[in-house]
Amino acid sequence: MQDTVCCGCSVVCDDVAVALTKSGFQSLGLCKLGHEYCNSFTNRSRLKTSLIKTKTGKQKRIALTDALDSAATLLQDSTKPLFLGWSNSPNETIKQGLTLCRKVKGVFDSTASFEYGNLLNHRLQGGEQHQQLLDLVRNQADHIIYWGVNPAESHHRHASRYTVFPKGEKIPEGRESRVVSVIDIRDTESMRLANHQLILAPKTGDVDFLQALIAELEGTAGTPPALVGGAPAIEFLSFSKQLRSAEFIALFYGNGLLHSTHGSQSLPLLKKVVGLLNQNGRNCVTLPMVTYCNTIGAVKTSLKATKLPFALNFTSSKPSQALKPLQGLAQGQFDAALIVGWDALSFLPGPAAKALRNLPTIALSTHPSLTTREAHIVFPTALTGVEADGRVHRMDGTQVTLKPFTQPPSGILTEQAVLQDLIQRL
Amino acid sequence: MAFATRLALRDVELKECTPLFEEEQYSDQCKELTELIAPLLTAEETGLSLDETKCTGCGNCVVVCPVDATVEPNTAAGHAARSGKTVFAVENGIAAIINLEKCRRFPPDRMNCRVCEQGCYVKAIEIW
Repeated sequence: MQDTVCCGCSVVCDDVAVALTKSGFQSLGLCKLGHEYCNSFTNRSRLKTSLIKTKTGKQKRIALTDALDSAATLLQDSTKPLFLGWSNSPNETIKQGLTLCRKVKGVFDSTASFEYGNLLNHRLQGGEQHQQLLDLVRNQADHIIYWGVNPAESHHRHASRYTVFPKGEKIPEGRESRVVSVIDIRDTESMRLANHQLILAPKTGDVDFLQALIAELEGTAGTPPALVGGAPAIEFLSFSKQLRSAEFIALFYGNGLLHSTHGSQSLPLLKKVVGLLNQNGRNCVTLPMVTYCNTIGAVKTSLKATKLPFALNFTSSKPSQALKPLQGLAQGQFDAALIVGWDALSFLPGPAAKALRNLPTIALSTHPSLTTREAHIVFPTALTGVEADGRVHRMDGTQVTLKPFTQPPSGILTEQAVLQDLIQRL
Repeated sequence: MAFATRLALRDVELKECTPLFEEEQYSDQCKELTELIAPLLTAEETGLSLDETKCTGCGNCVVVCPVDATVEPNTAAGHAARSGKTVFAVENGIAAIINLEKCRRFPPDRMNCRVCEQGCYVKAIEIW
């Protein structure tokens, strides 16, 4: 067995091992998501050759050098290309992407922009930052809260590795030393682990619950109504009492909170709750449950190179913040696109996806997707962490060096090598 | 009652209750009891059954198991089981019971430990 680092999700597990045997790929410690991710390099359906779209609209195979020439020409002829994706790529690839974007005077945006937006910007620019926060949580947090996220489905090992079950310096009994609260709009698998299972009403539940919590923490609350944001008052009171008695509270929130109907109102309220708890002598930290393995790295690399987190406009000599690139995409502001390591057409909102479909697009991907099916030029690339090395930042910003355990098939380059070649050709 | 307890502990088998199978008047009870204990027969000696189709490989069972914490202390701090000496290990994305005889529920001790069942997100582990 050989040690490796999993890039299947943003937990980026580094305590796992794999082996390539006669009977196939084997793993030890990888969750189902991680095993499937790492094993996908053996998938027969993976992209093997470069493709180019013909005049009839069908894709045909093309030699790698010809594909690189065509891609370079496409980018050179473009007046304002859009670079998208990046959150599944190592920092070194993102750096190359920034260089290329600067060279062709395009707009660069990672999935972080629409996943967690300014929130990540605030965190990573020093608003609230802890090095190795997950390790701190494992060692000290006695109250874990999951809000609008279901790690049982999205981040399988999050609870066992860092939050709910492990023993730590101040958590001698593991699960028994912690209180766990799960807040969502439905009964989830994660609620099975929780002491406080709070099911809120969709749409306004989060805001109502947060407002009631603020009043409770400020000491201005009267008798609560029978339902607080959809949760029974007795459960709300029990939860708020538990918060006031905890020493170290770790709050993990996800798209369920951020992208709910009143998500924009929830965040300032959540920030206020955290502030009040810290004022009351509690140590409260929050962390967004980002999805991709290097969402944080995409932001950090951009910050390091340009002092801007995402949505970077390189059309002038000095990079500036682009205003809502996705709206610009839907409005037809771009004339070409480069998508790296992301199935943009499956994830973008309808108007943006429709606009992207009509643009001449270059896609770098390991496996076929809706985006590669519609792209004008497709480069098959090596799988991050499995065939391609580099460094990524896990969800708390800690940098992890990847340990690839196999080589990509012959003729398949890493994303970094493709971008480097394009830079040279331009 | 004593027979029922021994049956649940798998010290005896249902067929050892001969009147149940030989006398016509007990045929309905025999059918009911056979259906009732069917899941028990699929469980391991510990009464523990692990449904691989439900398991997501989260490793909660590895981390909560007190035996795992003793034989490979790193697992108690959240690390994956790597030594091959633990009760549970996550292999190929799915939890596996690799040393059942070390389980605290294993005969003859048969402690009433259920932490793995309680820690399982998806009810893949059930104890009969």
